Amino acid sequence: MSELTTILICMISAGTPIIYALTGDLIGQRAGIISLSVEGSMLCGACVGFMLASSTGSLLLAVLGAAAAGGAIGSMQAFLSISRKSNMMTTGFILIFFAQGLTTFFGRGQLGTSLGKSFSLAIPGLSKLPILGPVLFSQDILTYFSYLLPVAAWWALTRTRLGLLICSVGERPEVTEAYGYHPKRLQYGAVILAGVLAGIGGAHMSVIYAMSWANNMINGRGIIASSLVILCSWKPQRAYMAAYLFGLAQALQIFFQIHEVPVSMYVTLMMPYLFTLIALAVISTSKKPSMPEKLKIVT
Amino acid sequence: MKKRLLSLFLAAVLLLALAACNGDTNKTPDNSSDQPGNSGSQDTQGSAKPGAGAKKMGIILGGTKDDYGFNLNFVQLAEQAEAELGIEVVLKENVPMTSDCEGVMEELIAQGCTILFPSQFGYMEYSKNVADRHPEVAFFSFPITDYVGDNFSVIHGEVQDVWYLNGVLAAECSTTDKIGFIGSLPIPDVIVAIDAFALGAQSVKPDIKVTAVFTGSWSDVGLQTTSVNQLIDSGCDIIAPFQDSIKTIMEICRSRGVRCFGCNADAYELAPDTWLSACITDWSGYLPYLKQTIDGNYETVNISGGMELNLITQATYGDSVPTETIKKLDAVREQLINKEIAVFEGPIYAQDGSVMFEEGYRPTIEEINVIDSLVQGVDGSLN
Repeated sequence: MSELTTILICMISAGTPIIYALTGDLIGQRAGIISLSVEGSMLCGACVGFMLASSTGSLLLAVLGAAAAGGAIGSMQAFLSISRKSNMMTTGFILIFFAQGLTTFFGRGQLGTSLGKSFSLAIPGLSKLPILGPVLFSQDILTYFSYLLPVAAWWALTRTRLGLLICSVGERPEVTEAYGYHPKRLQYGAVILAGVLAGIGGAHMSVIYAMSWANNMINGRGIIASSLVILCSWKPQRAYMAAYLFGLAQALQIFFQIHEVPVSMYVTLMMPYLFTLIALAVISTSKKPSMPEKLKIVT
Repeated sequence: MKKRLLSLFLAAVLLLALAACNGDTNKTPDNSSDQPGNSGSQDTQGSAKPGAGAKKMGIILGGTKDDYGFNLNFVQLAEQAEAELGIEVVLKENVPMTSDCEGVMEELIAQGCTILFPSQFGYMEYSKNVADRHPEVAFFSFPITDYVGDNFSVIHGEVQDVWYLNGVLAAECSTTDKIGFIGSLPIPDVIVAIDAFALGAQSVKPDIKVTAVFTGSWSDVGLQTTSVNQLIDSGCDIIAPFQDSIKTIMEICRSRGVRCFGCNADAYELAPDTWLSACITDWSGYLPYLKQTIDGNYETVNISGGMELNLITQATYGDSVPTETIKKLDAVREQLINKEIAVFEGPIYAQDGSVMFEEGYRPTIEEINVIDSLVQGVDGSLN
C-alpha cells in the first residue's frame, strides 16, 4: 500500500468522529447555543455504542443507543443553558466531567470485552479505484454517511423552512417569536441534535475505529470539534476541510515518526492543536461575518 | 412551578446517578473494627518490626484493574498474596499522583493495612511522608527511589532481559523482518525496553528493522489505533507496545491479522492467536519478602534484579509460537540467567554510529538506567 494511501485512510478515519460532532455543534451554534458538552455526548455514545455492539453484534442498535446516549447529554445542556439560562461554557464543561464519571463507572465491564467482528464494509467496484478507492470506499457505513452529513446540514440550514428558522433563532429570536414560532423549542431541537450526532461520532470512534472501549477515550476531540466550528465560519460545507485537517494532522503525527522526517516528536504530537490554533488565528481576522448574532453577545 | 419541579427532578436524577457511581471499589469490606490495635497504634513501635503479624495489605494503583496492563499486574499480586500468605488485600484504584494519595494511604492504614504497596513513581514522595508518620507500617515500593530506609523498601524488577527475549521471539516470528514498537514517552524504562528488544531481535537476524514511534501518552486510544495501522501499512508484521493499556492495539492487530506483544500483564486470554508474550512481574520473587514481614522479621531492602531473582518473567506464550522457538527462548533465558551473555554487552552502537559500550564491556544497572539513545538498527527519534 502506498504511503499516500495510508495517510489518507488515517486522515478519513480520524476525521469521521469529528465531522459528526462538528456538524452537530454547528447546527446548535446556528441556533445560538454552544455545546462544549459534545465531548461528553461523544464519550457516552462511545460507551453505550460499544456496549450494544459487543452484546448484540448489531451496528444499527449500537448507533441508535449511542445517539440516545449522546442526545441525553445534549438535552441536559439544552435544559440548563436554554431553560435555566446558565452559562453555556461552564455547563458544557460540567457535563463533560459528568460524562467522564458516568462512562468510567458503567463502562467497566466493557474494558475487557471484545467486539468479535469488524464492521467495515467496502463498496464493491468503487473500492478498487486507484488511491481514492481504498481511501474513500473501503471504510464503513458511518463513514459513508459522514460524507453526506455536512452537505445535508448545508441543505437543511439554507434550503428548508426549519433550517432557516433555526438560523433565525441564532440571529434574532424575538423576530422568530413575532412570526409565531417557539425559539426555545427550536433551540432545544438543535442542541439535542448536536448531542445525537456527537454520540454517533463517539460510536464510530469506539466500535469502528479503535474497536475497543477505554476510559476517557475521546480525549478532547469533542472540544476540538466545537472549536473547529469557528474555523468553518458556521458554514457546514466547510466541515470537511476542518475535520480532515485535524485528521491529517493526527495521521502525520505518527507518519513523520515512522518515516523519520526530521521534525521533533514533541512538535508532531502537538500538530493537531497547532493546526487548529493557526487556522483559528487566520479565520478570526476576517471580522466573523457569519457569526450568529446571539453568539456575539456571549463571546 | 413546572420549571421548578423539572429542575428538582433533574437534581434528583443527578444525585441518583452519583449514588450509583459510589460503588465499592475496595476488594474487601471495611472491617477494621474487628481488629483494634492494628490501626496506627504506636505501642508496636520498638517492640515489633514494621508490618509484623499483618492481616491486611493495601495496594495503591494509578488506574483500574481492567487495563490488561500495568494495573492488572497488581491484581495478580493480590490474588497470589491472598492465596499463599492468607492476607487480605485492599486495592485502591485511580488514586491521583498528588498529595491526595497521602489521604488514601492514611485511610488504608486506618482500615488496618500494615503493609502498603505504592505502585507508581508519582506516589513516592507522599509514601515517604506517610512512612515517616507510621513506623509500624511496612512499605514496599515498586519503582526505584532514593527514599529507602527504616520501614521503606524498594523491590524493582529490571526489564531489559525479558525485553531481549521478546526481541528474539519477535525476530523468530517475523516474516517481513520489520517490527513496530509503540512507545509512550521517551523515558529511561521505555528507551531501555526498545534497545533491549532491538538487540534481542538482532541476535537472531542482524539486519532486522525495529521502527519505534511514541504516542506521547500512556493510553490515547486514537493515537494507538493510528500508530498500529500505519506501522502495519509500512510493512511491520509484529507490534510491540509499551503502553499502559494494550486492549485497543490487540484488537486492531487481530483484525489486521498481525501478531502483537503485551505490556506488564499476562493478557493471553484476550486473543490467544494474536498474543505473543510480554514482560511481566514475577510476584513469586516478592512473596518471600512479604512473608518475612508478616512473620515479624521485616528488613529494609533495596533490590533491583531480573529473572535470576524471580522478580520479572515472560508471560504465557501465544498459541502461534512454535515449540522449537520456545525451546530456543528457554536456552537464551538460561544463558542470560547464568550471565553467559548480557543484553548490553559491548560493542553496542548508537543510531548515529557512535559507540555506546566498548567491545566486551558489560554495563552496570546504574549505567543501563541512564541510557538515553536508541541502538543501531532502530528507526525512530527521541527528540
